[in-house]
Amino acid sequence: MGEENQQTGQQETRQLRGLYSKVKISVRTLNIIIVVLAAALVACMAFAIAKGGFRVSFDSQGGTAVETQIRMHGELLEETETPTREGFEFDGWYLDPGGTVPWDPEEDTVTESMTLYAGWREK
Amino acid sequence: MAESKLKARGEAFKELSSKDKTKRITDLLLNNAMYIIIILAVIYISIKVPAFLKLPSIVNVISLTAAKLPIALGIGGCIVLTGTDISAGRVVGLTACISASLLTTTFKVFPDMNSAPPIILVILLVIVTGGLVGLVNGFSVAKFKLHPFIVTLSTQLIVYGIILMYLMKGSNNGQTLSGLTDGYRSLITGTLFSIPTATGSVAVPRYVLYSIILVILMWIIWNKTTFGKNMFAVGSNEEAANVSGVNVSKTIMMVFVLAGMMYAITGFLDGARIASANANTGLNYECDAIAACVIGGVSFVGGIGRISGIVVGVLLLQIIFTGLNFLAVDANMLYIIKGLIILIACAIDMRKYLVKK
Repeated sequence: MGEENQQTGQQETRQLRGLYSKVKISVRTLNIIIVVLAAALVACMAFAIAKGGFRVSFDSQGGTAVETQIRMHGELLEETETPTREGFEFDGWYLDPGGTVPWDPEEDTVTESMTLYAGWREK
Repeated sequence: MAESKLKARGEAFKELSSKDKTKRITDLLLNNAMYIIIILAVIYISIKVPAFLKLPSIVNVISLTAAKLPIALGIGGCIVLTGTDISAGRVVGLTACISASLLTTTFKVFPDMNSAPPIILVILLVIVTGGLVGLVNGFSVAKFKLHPFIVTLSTQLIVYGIILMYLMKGSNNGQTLSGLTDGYRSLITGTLFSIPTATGSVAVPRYVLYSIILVILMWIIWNKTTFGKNMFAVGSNEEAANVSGVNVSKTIMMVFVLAGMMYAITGFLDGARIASANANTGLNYECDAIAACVIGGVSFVGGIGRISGIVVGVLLLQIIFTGLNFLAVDANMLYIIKGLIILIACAIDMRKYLVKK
């Protein structure tokens, strides 16, 4: 195991076992590392929370472009402009490009970043 | 009696010199830095998004924790042996694909089948598959003395190749497997019990019960069997364990086989939980599992770890990431946060065993 140290109350470098057997580090350095990493973690979380918001992008599949929205968790979509396409009528937004899973703008809330696909009906 | 103990500790604390006092407080703060940060984050999130503390959210966190527990329980054993197992995620993927391809209503991998085999048969099949991968891992580590990282890296790639080839069989051609049988899905995701709320009821899925059973099982194995004691002995000091009569090779092999079986069960549960399986199922699951184990006190020093710690670790990680999701945090930032959490947990782990006299 590690070397037993006769001097109590002093923290100097001790050998660790297992995956740390080659590690030679003082407790003071570790303290500093932990504090720095913890600060970095909190900073990352704060930064990410401040810039929070799921991006809902709209793929109009051949029609006019619709702007991406930023929504928070649990919100409904904002009003979108209806895209237009030659010879087709807009059929609503769907969760898949094939137009099988519809998105209900009155009921469905945003829970992740996603892309909504336009459904088209031939005129 | 607990009160008098607390009083005695409080008095002893006052007796210490101020230098020792600061040392004690620093120790307390730093050793529990992870828990402090998480608790603060949870408080902040609950204030900003009150829905986080409501029952549906809590049940969601518990369900996700239950889904990710078995793999962490398996990997915990490998970490106790000062090893690791990065093939875990792919084994989960393989067993999920096997389960989804057999317990389905539209047979694509085996187009000649018309009815799904009995569920118990599939369970046994995937457990044997997981155990086999574990056996290959354990044998290579025990007999050839290869580092577990190298061995499990190879098995990870081999298992991935097997998944890809398996998904190309029959008429499937690499597509996602879905269309699972009702029996399979209701066995795993059926309602265990419903909790009535103001606006309806929240269902707790059945796999929460299975996870609890697995936790109890692993607790018994780790704490009440000779195998468990041997595992901790080998993890602490292999030579000393060998000298005192422990069959080190057999212990190592059994730990990896047990881990493999736990991954297989995770895959079986995940196939139904996600209701599909493809080549990406299980990708990087071992990262979360290892992070949860380290946070929960399973030390890389070896020979140290508790089942309760693993459960707490998985739960805390799940709480943090569900909470961050409620705050609509960029998914890409989550990777950075996860990495930082692992680093902090490792540093705290090192500190705990460095300072111990």
